[in-house]
Amino acid sequence: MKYLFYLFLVGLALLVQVALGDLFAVRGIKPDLCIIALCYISMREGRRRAVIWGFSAGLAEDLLNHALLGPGALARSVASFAAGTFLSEHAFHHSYEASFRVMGIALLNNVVLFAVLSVIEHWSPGVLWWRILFSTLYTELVTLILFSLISQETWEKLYKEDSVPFV
Amino acid sequence: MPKNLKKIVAPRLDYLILTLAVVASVGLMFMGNHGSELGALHSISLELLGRMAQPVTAIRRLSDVYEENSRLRYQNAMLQVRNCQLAEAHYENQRLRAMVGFAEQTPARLQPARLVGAGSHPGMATILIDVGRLQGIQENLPVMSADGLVGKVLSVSSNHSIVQLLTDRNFRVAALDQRSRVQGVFQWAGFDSGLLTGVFLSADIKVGDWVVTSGQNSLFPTGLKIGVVSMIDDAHAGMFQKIYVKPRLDFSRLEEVFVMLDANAGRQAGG
Repeated sequence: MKYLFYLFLVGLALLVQVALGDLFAVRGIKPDLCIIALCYISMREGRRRAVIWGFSAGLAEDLLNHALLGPGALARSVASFAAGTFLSEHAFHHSYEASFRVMGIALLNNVVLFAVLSVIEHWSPGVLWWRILFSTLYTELVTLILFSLISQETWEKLYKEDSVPFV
Repeated sequence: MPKNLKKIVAPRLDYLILTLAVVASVGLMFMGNHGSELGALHSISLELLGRMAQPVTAIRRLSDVYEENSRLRYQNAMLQVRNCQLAEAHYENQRLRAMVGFAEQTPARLQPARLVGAGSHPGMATILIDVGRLQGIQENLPVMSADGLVGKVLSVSSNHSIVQLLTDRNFRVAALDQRSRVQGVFQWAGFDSGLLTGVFLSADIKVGDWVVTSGQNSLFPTGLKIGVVSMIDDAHAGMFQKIYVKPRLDFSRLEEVFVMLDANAGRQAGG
């Protein structure tokens, strides 16, 4: 049942991001909802399963984006591994503490993704860094908004009861 | 042996899975998107994307409908006046053509299309339109609007297509200065302008000149408007001028476009 929920979560994040992303895009940059969903899954499932979820979500995203297959899968796999490592082993007292780790994960994801894309699409270093930083900050802003909707009680329950570090 | 193997692998399983995922991703990148199975998957995903984006775009458009209506009324009146002038010019042109023995040229057939979403790929400037193979759309057909060249069709499914915009960094089109007929290649430079490259320092280009497609590139007919020369920097450009061209088309407000179904028939688009 929980896997169906994860599938729904990642699917929803991907569809909203890919199909409706231009509604909230700023200068073509959208918040990375998928990495937030993957961070949640990584936090709950540990890094081993997180890599599989990350790879699958990245591949689906590449396919939906109608782009070269691989860059999304690579970035999501690496980022999910990091998320599994840095999110599942620590108990955060507040959700905003975790949100800063999500920013780190989003930064890692963007560095890998945009570095690969910059080679394929011949971006200048300025464009590359602007995209990496702006996308990361926009994702962090959305993470903070989403995390602020989670009550402290729910947050503690999520962390203390079910997280499975390093599995 | 399997037990030993398990002993070795088990503690490193996380890293092994990550390595496999990285190798698979890199492998996919090197394979490219050439398989017919991938083509079918892309086609399905494009249809799914189009159907999802359509209702949202429709709702969003409702809010702009009043403003658009008054703008269109004004534009209609202007076009009526322009139409009369063009009709006069057309007859004059026909008479002059007959005098110099030019062959009659067939106008290109245009397929109207509505924008149903912006492209989602972070590295490319693309849009999604609501016409596809069933409406006669093929890859590489030019896409234009009333304000000039928009881009070209990148990929097609049954009822939707992805259009690579002029503002994509990998988009190139052979272009010329409409006044002086100096030729070059237009490519997007970022933010709000493109560059007309390959134009020598001695070439006659002025700020305010219109840049149009030259027709040298077999994909695009001659005379489609690209933009206006906004700045010329010949101080640090070596042998060539650095010519900035600003499109008149506002790509963020693009709603309807036209796909030129037989671009080669209408090679004189009449900029």
